[in-house]
Amino acid sequence: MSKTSIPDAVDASAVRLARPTSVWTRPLLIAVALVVMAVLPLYLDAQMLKIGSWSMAAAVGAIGLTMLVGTAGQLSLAHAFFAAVGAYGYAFLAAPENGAAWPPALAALGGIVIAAFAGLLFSPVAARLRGLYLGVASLGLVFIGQHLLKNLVPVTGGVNGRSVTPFDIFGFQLSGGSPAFSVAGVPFGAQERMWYLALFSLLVAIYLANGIIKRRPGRAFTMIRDNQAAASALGINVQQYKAAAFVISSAFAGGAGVLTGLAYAYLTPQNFGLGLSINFLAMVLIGGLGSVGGAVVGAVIVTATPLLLASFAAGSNLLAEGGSGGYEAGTVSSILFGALIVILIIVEPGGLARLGQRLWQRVRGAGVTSTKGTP
Amino acid sequence: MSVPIEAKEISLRFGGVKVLDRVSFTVEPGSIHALIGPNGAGKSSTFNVICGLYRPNEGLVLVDGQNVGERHPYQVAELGLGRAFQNIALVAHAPVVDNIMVGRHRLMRSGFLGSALGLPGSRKEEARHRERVIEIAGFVGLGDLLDAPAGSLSYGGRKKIELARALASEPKVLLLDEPVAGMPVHEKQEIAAIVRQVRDDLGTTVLIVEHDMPLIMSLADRITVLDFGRVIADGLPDEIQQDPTVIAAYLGEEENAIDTEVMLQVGIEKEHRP
Amino acid sequence: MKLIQVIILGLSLGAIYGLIALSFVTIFKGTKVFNLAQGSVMIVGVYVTAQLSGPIGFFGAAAAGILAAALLAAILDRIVALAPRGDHLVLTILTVGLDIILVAETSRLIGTKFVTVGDPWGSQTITLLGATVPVTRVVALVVGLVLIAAFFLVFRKTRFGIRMRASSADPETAALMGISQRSVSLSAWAIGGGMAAVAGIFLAMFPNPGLDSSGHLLAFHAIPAVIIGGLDSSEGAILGGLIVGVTQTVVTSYASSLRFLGEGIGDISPYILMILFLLVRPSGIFGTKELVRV
Repeated sequence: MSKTSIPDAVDASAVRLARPTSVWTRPLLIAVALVVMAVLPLYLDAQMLKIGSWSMAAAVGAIGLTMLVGTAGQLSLAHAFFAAVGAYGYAFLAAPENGAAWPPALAALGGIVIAAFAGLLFSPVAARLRGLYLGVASLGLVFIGQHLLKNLVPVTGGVNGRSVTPFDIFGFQLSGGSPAFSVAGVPFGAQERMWYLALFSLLVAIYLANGIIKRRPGRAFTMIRDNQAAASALGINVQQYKAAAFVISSAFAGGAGVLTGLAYAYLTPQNFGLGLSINFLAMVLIGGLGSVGGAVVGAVIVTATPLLLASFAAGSNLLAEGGSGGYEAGTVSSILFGALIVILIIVEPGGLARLGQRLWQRVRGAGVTSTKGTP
Repeated sequence: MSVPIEAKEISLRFGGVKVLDRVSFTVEPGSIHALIGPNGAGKSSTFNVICGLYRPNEGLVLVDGQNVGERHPYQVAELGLGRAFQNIALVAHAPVVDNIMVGRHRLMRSGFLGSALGLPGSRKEEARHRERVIEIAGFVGLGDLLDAPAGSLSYGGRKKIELARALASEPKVLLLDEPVAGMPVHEKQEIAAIVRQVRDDLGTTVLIVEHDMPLIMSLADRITVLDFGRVIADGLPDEIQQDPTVIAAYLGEEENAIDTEVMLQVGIEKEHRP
Repeated sequence: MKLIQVIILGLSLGAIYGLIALSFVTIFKGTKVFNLAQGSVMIVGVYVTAQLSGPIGFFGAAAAGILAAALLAAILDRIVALAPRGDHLVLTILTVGLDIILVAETSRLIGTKFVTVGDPWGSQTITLLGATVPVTRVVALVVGLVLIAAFFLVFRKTRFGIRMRASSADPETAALMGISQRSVSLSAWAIGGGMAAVAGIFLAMFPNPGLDSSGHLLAFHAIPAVIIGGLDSSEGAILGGLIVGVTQTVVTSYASSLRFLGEGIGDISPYILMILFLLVRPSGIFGTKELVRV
């Protein structure tokens, strides 16, 4: 039986379809968005570019989690663990000393593969547990991960952390500033290049995720989320698909980890605690479970808000200083997100994606004229 | 050639409750076989055992000659078993066409890599199967509603999606669990006609659970009657209609005899559980 | 450390974990929601106790703290009840949202301090069976066992308990028989909140220096107990708690010889045990096994 709330039964003839829009509307909007994103680094300052890169890195992770939680219905609080594996995996593989000294592109792929492999190791557990149960059990991975990060000092640098080798292709750094390079008079340093690296990765992530969700695997996931027994009776190998969902989301988390490591240029275990897992969950919920676009929007909101609040309030007296025990930017942001999650679940569990969809349909004139009972 | 379904002495217990007690019956190929009985008689449980969701405590089920016992439900589905559920198991927020497409799962090959990358093979397969789904939707009368969210359809409409999805898997044996419950008469006739067509044109074997007596009597080639988890009768519709044990099971021995044939034709059954 | 010392300490920690695990399970059995904000509820109870223990003495403060936690839990329950029923996954995420708010606020209030509850036993120790153990832990063990016994007595023998169990087993039929789902829900959450607060108060005592702003994570350390015991089993929660408490204490006491496994191996040993259990017996020792195969 479907778990999402079913609206009142509607006579099909009462469903009013939208005014037809041109088939070019969507591609046009996407093209405009891409141009804007490509041009922004010419106008934004370093701080804003950082916020942008961090948001896009987080978005890659959020996309993976929304597939796991939203599409496949498997709650996971272990996302931070797999992000850590990807981040530290890249850092170790790419490091010229105390590392494997691989070319960064290969190391990045390696970090993602290791994260996916870690997901594979845990997947037998993930496959056997019901969605909620998995969420509760996955907490364990975060704590174990923290333990490993603090103790595997040669690889992770322990509690003090370690630096991250910049990403470069044949010597041209994409997360660092050398060699120097300018576009239209604007120097393209580390922040500008990181933006494009993050943007490219995000676009790849969106493409792959959409491919999965709208085709056969995505349909199988959705069926598993709503009714595992029926899914199995329809020929879906539920355990295999649940395991796969977990591995795929771990890979995306790993990708987010690699990007975050490059963006911060330094890694510490504190970055990858339970708080990060909860942040990812917040991004996915706010954006709308199962929506790729929603995950991106959610990631931007959750990542940027505390940082923007902090810089906005820096001069004024509106918010307290960090560590003062008053209402500082971080505290206020957290309360806002928590409240947003609670309100959204009560009012519109579909998150911003669903709200956006409803708004869009209203604009196009679509809707339902009346609700009738079964004829 | 093996029969589509053969149930042999199936017993099923949940805790202390005996849900099925040595249930045996055979479904002949290309026939419409009905499973009837009062509420709680064990009909849905029988379905669950046949498709592999429950493991029987004793006895076995052969689907197309293969023992279902140790198999997972998805493996039983691969033997050619399709199922429409009594409690509608649809994805409400997804469009009708996507819901029916789930039925094509076992006939498609696209995996994660092909789908993620959008490889040509994956896209072509998707398009091909989508066309077939549109045909099947038209066949059951859902042609105009393909893009509507499944949850927005009437109860009868959703039942049709269930049926279409089961048909989409192109099964050799079709399990229909109360496919016309809650529908108005004209829609019931539509569905009955579709079921007959599926048997006649496709040679599909159908095992159907239903409470609508007149419908069953006109549709079924053979009927098995369950009561309290036991088979109390098995035979042709005419035989079943006259069978005193069946009549007693539906109406209860204590009741005074009203014209039972009329009762059966009108399709009234009485709940007689203590 | 002597073996008997380890066992007593392990059992007392186990009783504390058992209480927290039981609080999770009670809420889950009552409403099918896993309250991930339980740690924050616990912290609130401890904080109230800490604030009041100067003015009105420890025992009054503890009573107030337990009540505050129970009240907060009841409020959380009513907020969860506002959401559309049915999808328990989403409701559990809702508790995460509530937890985010509570953690932000309690972290702000606690800051960098350690919260202590002003108990009368302090760092006193007592010698039992040749082992020197903190009095606080002996009290924790005794109180824990008493509360657990009381819990089972109430739920098995009283009308209230039977109504709770009936509703948990079959909410619809119970509602038809006049058992209000709303009052069952409120009671389950309030009881759960209160039990967690008791456990938290003991966790804030010696030998711990108190609870800091990350104290809410301690409740999560009882999750292995819940999983090992079985998500829907009260007996399992107790047994799981004891197993986890003893394991953690034993591993920590051998930490010097286990240094190769890393600093703090004792603290995460429950999680490793949990994962091993999940591989072998996912439904837990006493949990209900799924009858439907997928």
